[in-house]
Amino acid sequence: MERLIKNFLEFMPILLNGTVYTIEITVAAIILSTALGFVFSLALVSDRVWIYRPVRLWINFIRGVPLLVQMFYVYFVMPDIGIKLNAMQASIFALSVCYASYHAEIFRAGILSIPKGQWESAKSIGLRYWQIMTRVILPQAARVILPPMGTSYIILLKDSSLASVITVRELTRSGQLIATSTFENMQVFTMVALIYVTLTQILAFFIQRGERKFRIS
Amino acid sequence: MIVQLKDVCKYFGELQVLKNITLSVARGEVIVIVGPSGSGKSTLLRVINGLEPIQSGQVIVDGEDIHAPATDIHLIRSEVGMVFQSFNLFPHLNAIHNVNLGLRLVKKIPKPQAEEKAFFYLQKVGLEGKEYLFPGQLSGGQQQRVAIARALAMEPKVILFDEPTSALDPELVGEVLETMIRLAKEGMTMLVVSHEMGFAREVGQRLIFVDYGNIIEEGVPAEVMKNPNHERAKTFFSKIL
Repeated sequence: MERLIKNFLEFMPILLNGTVYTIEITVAAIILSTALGFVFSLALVSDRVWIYRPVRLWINFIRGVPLLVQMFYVYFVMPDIGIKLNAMQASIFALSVCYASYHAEIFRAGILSIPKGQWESAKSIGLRYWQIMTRVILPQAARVILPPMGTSYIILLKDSSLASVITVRELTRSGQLIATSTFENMQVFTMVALIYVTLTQILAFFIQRGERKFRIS
Repeated sequence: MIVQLKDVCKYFGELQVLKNITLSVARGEVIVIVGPSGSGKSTLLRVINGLEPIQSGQVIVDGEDIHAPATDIHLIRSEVGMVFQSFNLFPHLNAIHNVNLGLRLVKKIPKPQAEEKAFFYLQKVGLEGKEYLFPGQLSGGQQQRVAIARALAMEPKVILFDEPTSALDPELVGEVLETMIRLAKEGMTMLVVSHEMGFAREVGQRLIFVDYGNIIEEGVPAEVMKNPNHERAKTFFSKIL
């Protein structure tokens, strides 16, 4: 018991240090993937072939490559074509590009769930595309978008652990490093797992608050 | 002329739904459009504010060709009101906000004044006290009247009604028709797709019968109903009158 506590006090600061990186990667990738996913979704619902076709191909392509391979690609291959990112940037980049594809589909489903009549009546009073999107469509689509989006954010948070393989000292990597030098596998990875659960619980809390905001009376 | 259609042709794929339609609407005129389902009467209405693109011909609203490259279609639409069969209110906004959204975003009227205007028009359609209710809390007839207030608030040059009472319970039809009759008597220019023949007789100045994308009858409502020239119109009226 004494050893458990002593180890805990020794490991915790290192793991929390890694947790900061995990949070940074996750928050950055959530913001970027959501923004990019939204732009992609606008292309996907466009009726112009030259707009939606390239984006559709890109999304299908990205969805078909494992995130881990994408991480390797960004970190090890892109420098060869002159794009040098550090490990942290590379992991954010890979996560953002990968999740943008999923988020585009979630946005698309939300936008398509709104009846055509909403577009027509908004057009008929003279609103422009962007006004219709932001004032009429998205506020209603949010109800459809938020539940799967929230789940996707939680998966993204957990997938940030893949950054460990390209040397980012985030939570998982920090745990690995402690475990290999102390052989306290059980305690280290239990602590790592519990920190992830805590993080996902916090994220889930915010998602639920967001969902409540968009409920229609 | 507030609205002019010149040789308008419209296709859905192979199917021609409007065949060389030519029509002029004078200021203050109330025109009722009837016809069998699928005849193109709704489409005829929807080409006027550009909700449906056309393949050839011209649509002119208050002197402006709506398809001319220099024309801002959004501006035209803000001058042409439209009321839909299924109301199409914005369910996430209360009655006031449904009515003042266009005022604020299109006409750029500051919020307090826009709100005031919205109150005025909701009162005009008989919805005092319902201003802060959401569409889901209103009856069909009340929703349609909010939709009419939404169109009116933009102070349009003409309002298009696309079967405004077809989705309503029979006992709610009256309140919407009353509102429309009041508007007609105030001199609003209206194009109304509807099978409410009582309305056509009372305030309609012209009745148009559309069949297979053609206007086959046109004239004073009571006369057209009594003595249509075409067999198709005759059987139609005999069924609905």
